[in-house]
Amino acid sequence: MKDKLSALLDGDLDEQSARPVLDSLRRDASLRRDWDAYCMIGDVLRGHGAGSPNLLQRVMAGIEGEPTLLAPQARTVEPAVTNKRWRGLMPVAASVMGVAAVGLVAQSIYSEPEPTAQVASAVTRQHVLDNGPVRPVAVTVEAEDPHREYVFAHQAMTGGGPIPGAVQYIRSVSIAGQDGGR
Amino acid sequence: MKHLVVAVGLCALLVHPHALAEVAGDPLAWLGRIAAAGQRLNYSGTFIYQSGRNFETSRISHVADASGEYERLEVLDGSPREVIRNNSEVRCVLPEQKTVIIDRPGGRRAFPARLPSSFSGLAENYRIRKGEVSRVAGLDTQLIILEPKDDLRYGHMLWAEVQTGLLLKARMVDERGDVIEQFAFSNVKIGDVIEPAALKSRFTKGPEWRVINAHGIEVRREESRWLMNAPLPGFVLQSIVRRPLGRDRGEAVQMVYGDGMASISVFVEPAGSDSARAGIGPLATGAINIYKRRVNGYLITALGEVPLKAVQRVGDGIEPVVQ
Repeated sequence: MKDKLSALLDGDLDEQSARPVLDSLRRDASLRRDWDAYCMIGDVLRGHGAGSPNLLQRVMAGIEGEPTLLAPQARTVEPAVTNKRWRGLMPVAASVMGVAAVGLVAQSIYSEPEPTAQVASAVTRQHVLDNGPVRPVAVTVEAEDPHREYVFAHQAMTGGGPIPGAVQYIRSVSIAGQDGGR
Repeated sequence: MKHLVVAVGLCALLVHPHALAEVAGDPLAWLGRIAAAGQRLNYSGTFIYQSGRNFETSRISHVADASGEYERLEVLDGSPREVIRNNSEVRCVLPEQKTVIIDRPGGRRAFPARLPSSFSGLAENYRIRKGEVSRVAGLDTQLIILEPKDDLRYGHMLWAEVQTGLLLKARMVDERGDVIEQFAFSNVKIGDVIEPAALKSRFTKGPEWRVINAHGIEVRREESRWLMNAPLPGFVLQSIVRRPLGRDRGEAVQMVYGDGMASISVFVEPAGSDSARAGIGPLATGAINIYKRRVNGYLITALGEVPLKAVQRVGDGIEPVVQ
């Protein structure tokens, strides 16, 4: 199980493999302590401060204080993407709070968001990260990217390097690169 | 007869590697071929665009005939988006945002058109060399490498199809060699007949759609009310245009600086309340770095496919002309 825990932490588990691990995490207090320890080790190795053995408890307490984190209002702003994300969440809806905890813990380890991560927890984590406790509508990057017009005008004038023809405009329409501010 | 076919096939296989070792032309000539091929060839295919750790697949069809160039690009992942090019008019269609952005870049646009005149500048700022011959999308390609001579620009790797020169893969890398952005065909057909239907937009613009006309009006240099107090090495002022910004934001002046490969745009606009939400300071959208600041009630936005340091220097260097 510890192997799987470690794989989960590394983002190496797919949704199917991650689910039993997440279930175990919810049930097994000793496993949660292991998880905590792994997180702390990760933090220290990455030089992100000393971490805390009570991280999970603190995260859970934080979640108690923010019960509407996964704000459904995002749906109205970005229908297709949001719907898809919510569909992705449905299989784990029952354990969504546990998953959110894992998401936040993982967030404390990775300094940057990992939008391409495959695990179920990552789907939630993306939500948690994007929303953040204080900015519940920040998922609207695609809908409201304030720089799209600038980028478009830039591409139109310059060709955007060697990429030929319309391909250069991919930067204007792509959402792949739009992580928001960096 | 069968044996003969097999024998001929084997011979072709044996001869092939030798042919590859002799892909002629110096690197600059290759850049010229790439530029011409992108304009003149018919091609269609699927390519993967990567920005940072994110990927997106798109389909593209390009037709060039006596009446001009026509092109359609459709993003296949996520929300549907497309780019339609009809000679000099380019439309970005964003159906979910019910938005069309239109521009008529005219003759000054794009790498293919401006490359030949920029050759000398290119060699001043990049070390240009040929790399290996390798396969992309099942076709043999010649790699051309442009290595920056300073830290104000990124490196570029271009894979051009050996026979036609069509660019099949392009990668932009930082000083550590990490990929900032890449596009690569996963399959491509060169020279085939392309049905007109493949170039038509899939979306019908409704009355509630927002149309943003990004068409710029050329401004002469001496009429510009802004200038750069500290030129960025290797980047020269290429053009100045005035652009409507839409959404009641008035008009922006766009100054474009280029080094022959990368470019930086500086937009100067009245700093309205709307502009405040975009934030001030360094930002990024994918491979494009953005730097914003306010000067004398104006908002300056510098952006380009260059390191943050470069957009920051340009953004900080722009100041109003003292009459």
